[in-house]
Amino acid sequence: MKIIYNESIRHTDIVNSVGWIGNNELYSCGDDQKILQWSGEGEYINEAPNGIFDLNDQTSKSINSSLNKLSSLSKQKSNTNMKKKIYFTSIQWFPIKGKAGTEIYAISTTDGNFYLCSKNGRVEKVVEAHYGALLSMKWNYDGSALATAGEDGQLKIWSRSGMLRSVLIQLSNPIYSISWSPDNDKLIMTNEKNLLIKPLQPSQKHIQWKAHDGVVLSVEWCSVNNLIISGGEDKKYKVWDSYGRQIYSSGINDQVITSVSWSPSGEMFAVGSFNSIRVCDKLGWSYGLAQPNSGSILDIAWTPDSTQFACAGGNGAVCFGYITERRMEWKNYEIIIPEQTKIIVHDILTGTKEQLDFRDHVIKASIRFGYLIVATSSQCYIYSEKNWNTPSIIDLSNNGRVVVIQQSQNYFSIVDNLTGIQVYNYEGRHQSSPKYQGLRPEFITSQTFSLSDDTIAIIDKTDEKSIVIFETTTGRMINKEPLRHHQEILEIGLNLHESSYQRQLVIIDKNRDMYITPINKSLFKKLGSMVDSLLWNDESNTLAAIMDGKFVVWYYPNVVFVDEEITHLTRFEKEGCNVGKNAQLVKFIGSEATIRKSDGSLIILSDVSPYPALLHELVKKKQWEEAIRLCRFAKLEVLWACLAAMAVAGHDLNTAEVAYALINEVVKVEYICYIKEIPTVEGRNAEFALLRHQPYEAEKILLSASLKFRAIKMWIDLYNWDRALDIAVKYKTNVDTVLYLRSKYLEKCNKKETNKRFLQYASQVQYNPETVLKKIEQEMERERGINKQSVAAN
Amino acid sequence: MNGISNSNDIIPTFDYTGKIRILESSNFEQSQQLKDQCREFVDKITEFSTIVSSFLDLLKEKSEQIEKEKLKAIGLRNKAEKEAENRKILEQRLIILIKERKAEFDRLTAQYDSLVKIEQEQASFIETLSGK
Repeated sequence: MKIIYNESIRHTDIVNSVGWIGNNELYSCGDDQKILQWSGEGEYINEAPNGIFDLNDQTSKSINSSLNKLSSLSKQKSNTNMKKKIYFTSIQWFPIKGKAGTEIYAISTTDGNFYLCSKNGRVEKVVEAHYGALLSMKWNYDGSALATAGEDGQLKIWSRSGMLRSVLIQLSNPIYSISWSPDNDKLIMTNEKNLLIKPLQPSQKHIQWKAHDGVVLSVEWCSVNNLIISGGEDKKYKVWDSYGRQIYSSGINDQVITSVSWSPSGEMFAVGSFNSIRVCDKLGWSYGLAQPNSGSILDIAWTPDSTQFACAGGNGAVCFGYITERRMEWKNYEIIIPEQTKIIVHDILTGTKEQLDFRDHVIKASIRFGYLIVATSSQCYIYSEKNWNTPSIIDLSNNGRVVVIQQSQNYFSIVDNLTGIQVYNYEGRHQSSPKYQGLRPEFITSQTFSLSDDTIAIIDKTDEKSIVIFETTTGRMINKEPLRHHQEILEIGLNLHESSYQRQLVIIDKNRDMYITPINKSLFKKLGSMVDSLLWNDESNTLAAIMDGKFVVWYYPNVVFVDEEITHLTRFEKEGCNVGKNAQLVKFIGSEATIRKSDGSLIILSDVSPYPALLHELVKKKQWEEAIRLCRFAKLEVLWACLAAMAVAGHDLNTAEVAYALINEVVKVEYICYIKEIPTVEGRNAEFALLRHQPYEAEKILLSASLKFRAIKMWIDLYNWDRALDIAVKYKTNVDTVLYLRSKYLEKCNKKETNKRFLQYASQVQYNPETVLKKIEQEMERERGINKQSVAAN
Repeated sequence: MNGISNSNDIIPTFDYTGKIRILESSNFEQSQQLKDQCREFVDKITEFSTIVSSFLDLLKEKSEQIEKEKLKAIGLRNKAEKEAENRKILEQRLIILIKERKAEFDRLTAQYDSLVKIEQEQASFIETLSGK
């Protein structure tokens, strides 16, 4: 990737701050007492009008006139004095765009004031905020508050109209930079070499940690991915998570880092220092470096669509830059974005190159399942790999910013920050727009949002422990209650390649543990810990993850619901391949996985065996014989383990027996032999449920088939006497049997009855051991009879 | 003076061309001669003065030129002196760029290595398949 930039010097002194309004208009302010207006292409338009200087002239005049009209000479002198005093430090546009022409901005000065101005330059309000200079100022994300920090070490919160709400903190050092947390309830600030996070709630404690070896000059908290970047006089820039844990630290650069800034998409950030701008991935590795003649870069501002940034240079230059030559790969296609309005599709198999041109800047592109989706600021184009000439076009004429594009086999969804989630099919027909109370589309990332052909899952931003599930085609919520986990969830993924009743969701929580759950109820089973990244295969139902720096594949993740004990056998771990910390899975198609290491290099791994995918296919068609043959051919334990689990899930006894035998699970083989002898179908199904450690499910099956005795017997075999007694009492049968067996069991263990309920029933019910044994015999006989009847009926 | 005081002594004479002369013809001739000489002298002087002025102009021009060259020389000297520093800055910039490219190169090498590995693995896999 490359940074394309152009700089132009229009200010005659240091430029202190730049701010975009929309995607096409930039204001810059400098020490030459000017506010200049620029176009999105980096062309100078004119000097923006502003009333701040007039205001000062007037006040000075009025002061002078009231002071018994001094000589005109002194009046002039004081005028020029007043004018000299205004040096801007920061310009911040109000974050929510109103009607054209009514936008307002806040601008701060070295004398500790800030001014609220409308776009036409009228000063709405002057506020004396700090002693000494006001160094940093930020609106919160919904525009309801403004935070300011100054040389006096105070951080103050103001209302939208400029009324003081609170003095949040008083430090002994100047605060150079501040930033709001994504949910607007905390602020991060610099404090000498430390970073400090202070919640707005006074009762909550603040966190402080040493971030740099020199004074920290700039900090920003990303609203999307919750990461924090900082840069300081030790010439380093670092990435932190929201708990202050270091994710990345750069090497020592040549110059002090004077500014850092996240792109609104949260995918990358820009770092400015003397004569250099660097754009980095969110994990810290550098996309590219530009060396403009701009002096120290004091401020960087990205356009809301994240396609462009502007820098304020120390020599009066305003520098505009953007990233080009982003690349993507999918199967035999290579997608390159060489210019902001151009995409080149390179088919490696045929060597053909297609050039796609767009009217507006390309904001996001995604290629998967044979379809390329390109979002520009006004339209969305859908290209099929069969036809690059005639895309389907969807209008996105609401000025929203496309945050995420997700694709599944038959549908794709676009999330933009104003309209929310939109689901379309590949013909461009609108399917649904899922919504729920508290949906915050601007915070959705590809990690917190997952799409499959029939379900959509989103981490609820208001309660990060829960996941909301929707039906893809209708946009209705599937469950009344969202899925709830006991920890905050960071990342989710739905399996793509399975029919809807086997749809499963995998999550990574705050502790970096990975869990799997079916989508219809919260049944979280742990798959692994220290997981950095997860991804389902595009073509089969296998799951890959980066676990403790290793690449691990679960060939049949459903195994945890079938037979947890053989989970480790169905897992494949790539040997001799350490991908390091914080590696991310980028792609997992067929037997090929692409991983991005934390230094930015792409690693492609391909020895994911192709057999499991074949096995999945065979099992789906219930061709058990074929499946066994495949496993015999491949001679892999992993495969046998998968087959065993699949056979149990598919209730195929013979296959399960063979497969368990070959992974040396003697106990299971024995048990399956026992199941084989059970006369009724329901009885067998119940035993399968037991094999899956689901006694309650087994009980349900048995009771619905009115095999009460078997249900009671099952609980007795599990030594759950209370439950057995409950059922016996409820259905008024075999209470005596339960009591008899209980007493025999206690006798064996040389124990006395202590359970009150059993004591109570023992005194109420009298039984004769012989009749009980006879009764048991009768029950068995009856069951066989049922089976014969059903066979006869069939 | 003599001529005026002795005005009564003026005797008009005729010269050889028959024109009336108040001055003696010899004097007249001399004065005539003087007049000519004077004119000649004045001409010469003006000529001299134009020559001098043009010469001055030339000098001025030259001096300006010299001044310019002098400044240029100073500039160049400064430039030359600064060149070492500039080179250093440029070197620094290039070093940064090299570092950047090297990181990029390392990334690509890692990717290439992984691809080579895949090729090997797939080749051996094909072999096992065709072997069976």
